Amino acid sequence: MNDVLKDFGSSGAVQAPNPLSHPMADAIRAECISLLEKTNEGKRLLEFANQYSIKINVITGREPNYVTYTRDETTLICPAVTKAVDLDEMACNLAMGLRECESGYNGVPLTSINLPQADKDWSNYRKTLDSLTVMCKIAYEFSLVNNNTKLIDLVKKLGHYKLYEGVLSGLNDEELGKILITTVNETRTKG
Amino acid sequence: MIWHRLDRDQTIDMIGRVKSAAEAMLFTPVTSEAKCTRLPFFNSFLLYRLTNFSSLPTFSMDFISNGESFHYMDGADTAIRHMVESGELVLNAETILPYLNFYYCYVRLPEGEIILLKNAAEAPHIDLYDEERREDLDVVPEGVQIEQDPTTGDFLVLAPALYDSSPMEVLITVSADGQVTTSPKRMLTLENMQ
Repeated sequence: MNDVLKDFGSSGAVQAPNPLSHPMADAIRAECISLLEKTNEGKRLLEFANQYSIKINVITGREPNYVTYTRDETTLICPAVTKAVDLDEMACNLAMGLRECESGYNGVPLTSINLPQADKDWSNYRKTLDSLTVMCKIAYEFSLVNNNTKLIDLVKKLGHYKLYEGVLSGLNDEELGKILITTVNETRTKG
Repeated sequence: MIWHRLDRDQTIDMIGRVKSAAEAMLFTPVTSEAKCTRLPFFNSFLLYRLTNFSSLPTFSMDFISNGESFHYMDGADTAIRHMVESGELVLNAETILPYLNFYYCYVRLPEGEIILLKNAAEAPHIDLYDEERREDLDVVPEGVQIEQDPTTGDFLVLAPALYDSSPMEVLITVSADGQVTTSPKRMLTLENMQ
């Protein structure tokens, strides 16, 4: 059993001096990296992270998530009680966070309120497309490695299965972008 | 929930008080907004939300606080335990459902996500993005049964819930000190809800 799973389930995490620090940050980071190393897309992103010394933070939070404020670091958010946290999902979050850093190095400005509206819209669109494309690639590769469709099911639940199919069939960015916009508009209409 | 926005000085004060939590450039007074809302099951502590608008999507952190000490809601029930120890938790027939809605929203459980449903028919309409629904503390499930054990003070609540992604009838036991245990009783369909 790995270090993370071993301690998963300890209700009420030990309070660290910094209330935001995840008590199992090192183990979570290591496990996510280890999982990503099993995939081509994950390996590619980890090589990018090594090349540019991208910092990977792990903090506590209500829901598994990630946030990227600068192109030089990404922050994984993981509930303090880790028993119900899916490590594959956390690893996928790390891949998406690293992709946002990579997008930053590729010239996509990090989405900020300080950007002019047009730049903000483009940056948000580009960042969303890049990170969701990575999510689809990782979900597919994990399904092969783990022989289950757990993450693909999550992609479906998130409403991005058409994008997933597009990524797998090798559509280009423009075509994937059209699918993304259609999906977002459908979701808004339903809402 | 009805939120009250904190003014700039109050926001700066809050960021200062949660500074260790807000490090790593997550929050700055210029790009952040703070707001608070009352929780009916706590005597004086409120729910505070600090949101950073400098990136999209925005990023928020929630705390339980009396304005001085801030307890970060990190997915564990640690902050609730603090409230219990401080005598802040008030459980009665009026507050038990808001408390359960809050508990299921903020505490990450080994069983996975649980949401009290208005009825079984609501289950397919709750999607992953619907934070507003998850944070609605005023949801009262149709046909909910609430009893209190006179000897232990425990509340027993029988209600429809989304449990393991399926609509189920669940029996919830809430001890006087706020501990919640959830037992699935049976799968619900539209027919057996009526």
